[in-house]
Amino acid sequence: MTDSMHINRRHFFGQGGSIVGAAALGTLLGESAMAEPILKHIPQFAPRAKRVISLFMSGGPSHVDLFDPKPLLNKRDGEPMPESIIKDHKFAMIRESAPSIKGSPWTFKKYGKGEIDVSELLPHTAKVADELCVIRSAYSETFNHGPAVSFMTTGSAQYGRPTMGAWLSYGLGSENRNLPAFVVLQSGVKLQPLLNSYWSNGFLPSQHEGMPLRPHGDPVLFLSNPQGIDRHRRRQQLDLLASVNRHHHHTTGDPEILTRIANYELAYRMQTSVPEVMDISREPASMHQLYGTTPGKKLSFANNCLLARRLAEQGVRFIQLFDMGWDQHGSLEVNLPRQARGIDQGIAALLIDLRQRGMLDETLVMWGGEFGRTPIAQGANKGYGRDHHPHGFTMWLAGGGIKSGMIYGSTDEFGYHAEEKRVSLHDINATILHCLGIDHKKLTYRFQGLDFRLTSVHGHPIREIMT
Amino acid sequence: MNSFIIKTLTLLVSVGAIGAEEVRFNRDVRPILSEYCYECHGPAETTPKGGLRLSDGASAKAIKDGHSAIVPGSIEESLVISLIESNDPNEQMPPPEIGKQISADQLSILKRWIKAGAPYETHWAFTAPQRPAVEADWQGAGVIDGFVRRRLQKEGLKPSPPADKRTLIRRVSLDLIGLPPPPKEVAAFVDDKSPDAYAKLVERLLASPHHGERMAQDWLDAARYADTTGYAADKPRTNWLYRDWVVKAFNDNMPFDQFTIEQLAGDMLPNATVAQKIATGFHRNSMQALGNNPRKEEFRVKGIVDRLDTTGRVFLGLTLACAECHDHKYDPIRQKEYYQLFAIFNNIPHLGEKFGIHGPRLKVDPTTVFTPAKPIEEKPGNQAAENWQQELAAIINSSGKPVYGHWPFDTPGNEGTLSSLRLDPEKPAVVSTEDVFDVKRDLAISVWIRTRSTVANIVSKYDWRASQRSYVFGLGGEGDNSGIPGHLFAWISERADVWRGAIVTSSFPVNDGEWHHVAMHYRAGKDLRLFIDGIEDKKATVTGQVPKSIAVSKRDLVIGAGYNNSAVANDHFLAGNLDDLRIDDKLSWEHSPELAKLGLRHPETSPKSTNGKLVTAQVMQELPKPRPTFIHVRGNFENSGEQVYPAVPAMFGKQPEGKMDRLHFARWLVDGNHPLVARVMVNRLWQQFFGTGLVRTVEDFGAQGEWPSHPELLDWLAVEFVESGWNMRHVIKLIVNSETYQQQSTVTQAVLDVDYYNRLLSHAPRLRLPAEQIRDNALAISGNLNLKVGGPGVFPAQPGHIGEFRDSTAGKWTTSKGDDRYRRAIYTFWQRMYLYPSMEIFDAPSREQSCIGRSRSNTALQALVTLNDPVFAEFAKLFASRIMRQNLATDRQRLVFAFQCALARPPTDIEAEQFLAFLTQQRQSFAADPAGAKALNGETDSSFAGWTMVASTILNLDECLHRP
Repeated sequence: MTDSMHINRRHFFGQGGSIVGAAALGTLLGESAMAEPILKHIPQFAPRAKRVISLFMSGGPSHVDLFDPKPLLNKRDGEPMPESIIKDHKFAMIRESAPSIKGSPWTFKKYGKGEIDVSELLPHTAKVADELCVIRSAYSETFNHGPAVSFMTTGSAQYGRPTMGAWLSYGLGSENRNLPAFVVLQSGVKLQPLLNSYWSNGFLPSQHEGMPLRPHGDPVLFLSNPQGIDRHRRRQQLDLLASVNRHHHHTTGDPEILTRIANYELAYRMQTSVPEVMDISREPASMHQLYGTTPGKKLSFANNCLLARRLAEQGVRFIQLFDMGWDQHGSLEVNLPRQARGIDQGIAALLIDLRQRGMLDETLVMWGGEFGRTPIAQGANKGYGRDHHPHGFTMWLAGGGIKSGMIYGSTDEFGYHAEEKRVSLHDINATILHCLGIDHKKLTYRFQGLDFRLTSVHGHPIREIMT
Repeated sequence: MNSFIIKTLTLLVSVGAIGAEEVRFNRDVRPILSEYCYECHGPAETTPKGGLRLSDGASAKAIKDGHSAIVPGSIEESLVISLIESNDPNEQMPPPEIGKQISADQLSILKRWIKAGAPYETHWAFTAPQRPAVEADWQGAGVIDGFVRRRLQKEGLKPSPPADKRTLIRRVSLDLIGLPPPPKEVAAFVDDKSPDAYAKLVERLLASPHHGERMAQDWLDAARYADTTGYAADKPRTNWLYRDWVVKAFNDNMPFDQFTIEQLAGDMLPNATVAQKIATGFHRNSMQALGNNPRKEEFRVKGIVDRLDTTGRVFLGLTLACAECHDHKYDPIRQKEYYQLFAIFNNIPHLGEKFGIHGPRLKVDPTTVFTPAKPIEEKPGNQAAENWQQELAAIINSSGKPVYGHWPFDTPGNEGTLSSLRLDPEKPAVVSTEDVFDVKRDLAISVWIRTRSTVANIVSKYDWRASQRSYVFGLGGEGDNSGIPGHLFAWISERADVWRGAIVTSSFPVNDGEWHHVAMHYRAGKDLRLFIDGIEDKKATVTGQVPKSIAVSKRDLVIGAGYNNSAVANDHFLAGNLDDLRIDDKLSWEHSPELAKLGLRHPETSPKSTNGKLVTAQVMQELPKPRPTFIHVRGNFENSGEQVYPAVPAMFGKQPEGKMDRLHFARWLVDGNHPLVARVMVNRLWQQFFGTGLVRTVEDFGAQGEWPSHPELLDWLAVEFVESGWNMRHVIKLIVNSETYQQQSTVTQAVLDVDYYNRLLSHAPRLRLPAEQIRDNALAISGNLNLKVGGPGVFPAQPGHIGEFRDSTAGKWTTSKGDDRYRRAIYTFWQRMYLYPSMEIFDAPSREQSCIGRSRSNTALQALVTLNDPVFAEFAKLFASRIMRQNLATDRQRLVFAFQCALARPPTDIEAEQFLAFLTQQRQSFAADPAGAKALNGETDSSFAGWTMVASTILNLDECLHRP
């Protein structure tokens, strides 16, 4: 670190420079002295978890077919859903005035000492049921995909707010100087689009935006040198660049030039660090067997689970996996098993792998989608499906700071409304921040005259599910 | 996604200096009260806690239970102080749970203020600016220097000497036209020893057609201009004529008052020109979602909320958004006043449904658009058409009386003339209770329509929500997912209680505002077809099984409307005209084959323009009858409170006279008396040239905003702006001709230590180029920039797989061919949800929302763009070949030329030595590796490869990425 950077640090943190806002001037990937995460300077409570892996089922997974068995639905299959339950409800797609109940075609069993109900569609997950804290009483506020995903990722259905990963990058920074704090991985069958907004920095400084590691082409945009420029030539080029830039710094005195030199060096290091972490062929055969992955085979959710573990090992703060294809408006009996197969082994493997490495206690894993699905059929006969359902659905948490092998909250007997111990997304976010050692009320950012937070003016950490 | 405004940072030199100096309420005290107290004791109308309003002197000083919050002159008796100093968590202020603590310095300010008698002031920005006194020798741009130097002197700082001419020409070129100066122009400027050389340069740049492009860049952020609708679907939406209008307005130096009025309400001006209507595209840039049907209204409301948010940010420098749900906590804007403003923008005939490309539009000939011309209006039918109609009428009449019903809609007594039924957008035309319309078997409905409605029923006996299904024919499928806005549809169901039947949807829209003959024909158990202008739409989609019979519904037959769970027609109203409606068991041309041959064309159909291809512009329009506006209780549009009417907030004094509407509102903004508008705009111009506004919080001039670094200068510029006739170029000239602007940008550690952010302008700021100039600059240096102004968005190359997970409706990124690959960045297709990556990485905002200040980040991903993006790699190669094409004898001369192109200066000796050594090294390396050279440039020439490496390095120099 150069003298000038020390001077800047003193400027920001020593001589009365505001702490909040110091990160605003930082540089991507913590290269500069100015990129200190703000929470280093605001003592919070002892963290239970260091990082989060979010498994996001884009489209909305069916809670009544996966984690929330409702025998009554099967008993009354085909009957109209009682008016008392659906009164005044609008649906996204269903437009019958008296839509009918649909039971789950799949069977459930209880697993582990926590007697967690898991559907036959998730046999691998069932084996790690004792790691899970299944929240059956989650609810959301909006039933269209876009705003609902925005709500789940940012706490607001209005686009443009910072996502949880951006907040964590801003608040906690990265543990690795060669990788960003917030990384996104994508897989699945494309139904709903995945948008930049879902990993946006919102109004936070732009270096906190999530970085998608792309399954095709360069994993990070423009990571490869142009053809004909090998690593040796690039080194020579960067040496010249740094020398001339340093000289320019002498002339102008602008400290930003030093940050730029550092960032060119970081870019150079990323050219090896990113492909290294992405290269799952380095994993032993036993790992591939555990995850059900084949190196070099096309992208899959299981691949991404394995990558998530590798990124977690590298100290990435927030790793978010989006799996597309969970929007089963029709052909539930064909499409849901396909989706479930796609995630089951990878998720179980991730939990087992993290546990074996002693990392699960410091990694909080969360699973869920933007909503659940109606316990009501959409369409008739064989091709039926289920509609969007924000009124009550399942999410689960596991790992760092979370009690394992338990079920929390419930929906009513139809699996329709979250009933007991209702859990809003803000509560879940407050809980996750708490596990990371952050008081959700104190992680704020001033924008347009207001102090914004991830949980808006809501949210309470759920004490009963924290260790 | 970087609508980020650089946030609060305490200056070492406080913007409002507090030393031994007098404490001032506006500068020193209000920010503290606003930050710590206003949330509970502020201006919001809801009763403040304990009845105490610290934002109001009378309330703060009132005696209650023998105490006052503030007792002028007495720190001891002022409750505010004792509660702040209290250690009792039950009475301590601010309450500990808020988690904010007033610092010792701030407490001392409050004490000094109370001691001095606690004088209150009106918030500075809410009082109209007065021209401050200036010293006699401050003239023109010298006024800027006068105010800046006065402040520097106070802080013990000195201005910097003027920058050298090479730096100056590069700085002012990049700032005024967004392009680097070519070496010849640099040389001419350096050689011009006349005293007004710089002033002449400024005039030349301002006269360039590229000045408008550079100015438009920032305005288009503010106007959230994009080429797609945003949200998940992110469909293309053609509105580039608006972008071109902005460029032209800046090139014409349109006065800012006119600029404002035309964009907010150009459509309402008397005899509005096409260009004035195109200007209103400003507020049609709001995002538009594909909303599922029950949420149409939500997205319509979101559009208006966005218009208010943008208007507040761009013209008023106020954050109105708070007041959508409750009274503003910090500024005197009540929730009711928010909805009074809402009412002003609530009358656009745009619904929140579907992709939102269905709002009011113009189709115009782009070649004539910016010259005075009339919009294409419907033209009355001519004689020939009338004759033709009579001919048709004769054939139709001869085809016999329809089995079920016939509505010719001819004016009584004037049968046979050109009359049709004009439908009120909110009222059904005809309701028939006759049971003759309980048609169970074959059914044919035919009618002439002229409408721009997107979702509207022509004929309905159908109410699915109430389980009263029978048949319905219209446009847009009642907003259902199966429908397409503007496209014809018919539904028939053989059961009333549940859906069992068939749906047909036309393959193209019929709501272009022209007359069309439309028909549906159901043949029991056989088929369900649509006919448009007499021709069967063979590409129409049919879903479901065509039933053998149609259910009977308890609903009456309604024309021009539909039902939404009600016995009375209450939804899907059709706006426009209907003519000659027939309900029959077969189509009229089955009676009369001649008619089918003729093709059906309504006699009033306007002749099609033949002047080349027409281009769509999104425009504003007022409903003839304003929509009623209600307060949305807690911001929930489904929870209507009190009805409100258009008005401006009371904080701005008395209401302007006359009926308040969009046009009146726009005129009120720029009537010259508004306290905010001129200040807000000159502040943003200042930000554009100095990197930071005089008020750093460009978006917030309210109580939570920051005190200006040079309040008198801001007011002087604002008054000067208005008095110059809102002349933007006048203000720009004052700025760039000031000595402050022309200073050197070098800085010493000593200055950094006291004024890190250069708010006092002891030197010129070095600014990293905006995203657009990162591209334009490199492209211009490479010698390949295509300088074409205007036109549709272009698609420069981007990596494959960008947006592979985005919506399939969002359109394809097909890389432009030929010269269009080398256009300026302002013309790059602005795909909101997948912004062109190299621009996004350099902080271009997605423009989902209005953005009036970008971040200027400095990241490793940016290094990867300018080193590795194939587009930039190509620029390096083009630059290398440009260097080698010059008729120059030595490498040293070539290097000098390269530096002149990129940096407007020759290399220093040290630089030259290092670069030439690098060139030699690379040349040798490529000579030994012809395959590498070929991979790099497509040819094995090692010299070319070496120069490409040199060119890439120059383009990546920090100096090259900065405006000096």
